[in-house]
Amino acid sequence: MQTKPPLPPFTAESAMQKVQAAEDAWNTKDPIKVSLAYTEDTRWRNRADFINGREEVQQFLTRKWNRELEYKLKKELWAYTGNRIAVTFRYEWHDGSGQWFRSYGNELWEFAESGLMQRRIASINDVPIYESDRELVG
Amino acid sequence: MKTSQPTLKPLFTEDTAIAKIQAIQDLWNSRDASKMVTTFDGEAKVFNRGNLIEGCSSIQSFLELRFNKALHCTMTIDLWTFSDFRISASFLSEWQDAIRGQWYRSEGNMQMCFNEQGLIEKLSVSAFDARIQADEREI
Repeated sequence: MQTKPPLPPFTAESAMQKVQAAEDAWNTKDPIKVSLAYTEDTRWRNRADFINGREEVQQFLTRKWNRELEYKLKKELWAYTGNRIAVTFRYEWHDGSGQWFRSYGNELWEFAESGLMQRRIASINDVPIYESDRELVG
Repeated sequence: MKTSQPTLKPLFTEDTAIAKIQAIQDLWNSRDASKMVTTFDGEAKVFNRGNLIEGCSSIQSFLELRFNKALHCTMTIDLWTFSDFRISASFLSEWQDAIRGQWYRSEGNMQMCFNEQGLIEKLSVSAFDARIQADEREI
């Protein structure tokens, strides 16, 4: 069985490791690499989109990073118990017209025994910002 | 037995976290802003869909405006996880636009941080709204 440590049940330390690993992975903006942290049959709700399985995750992320240019993400652990973790995050990006945004979100994670994520429920809201107001630079 | 104890305090266990969520849901479904605001610390910060609202007075004003615009607002809150002073939950709410009559279902996540008295000192909410028909209501 493919495993991705740390495994549940989580401790404060291992939950923080999972959050940092996710932040690092998503900041590569590589859909294939990111998708490997999820089970083959992972189920997501991302905003209003329902995404099932790794292939759909890859397709979703490809579309995402084709649209969200110069994407930079910061995640923070909120709470954890057992095989579940709650995270707050924000990311900054600009669209094709050059308009910058800061997106704020909350996500809920559930992991399989393998340490791969089997459920991800993410709610996100976008706020237009000036480029000069960017916080996540470098 | 349904509990209604808004004063449930940290440190949370699974049972008290579930009870706390139920108590908050019950109180928030009263749609009475002056009652809802009693779940918050006086200097609470609410981060709602990217917008910051600070202090009970501003929170109450926000809620009053919300209920003027969104009629029959009813919500369900489901616990996701918790730690000592924090609770994370998903929620659904259904409401009707006061002007256009269109029904909506809002689906989102909320992260809460409580003080030692069991009052919310920080609430972060992210959500999206989907149009529904009146006969599609589930709550």
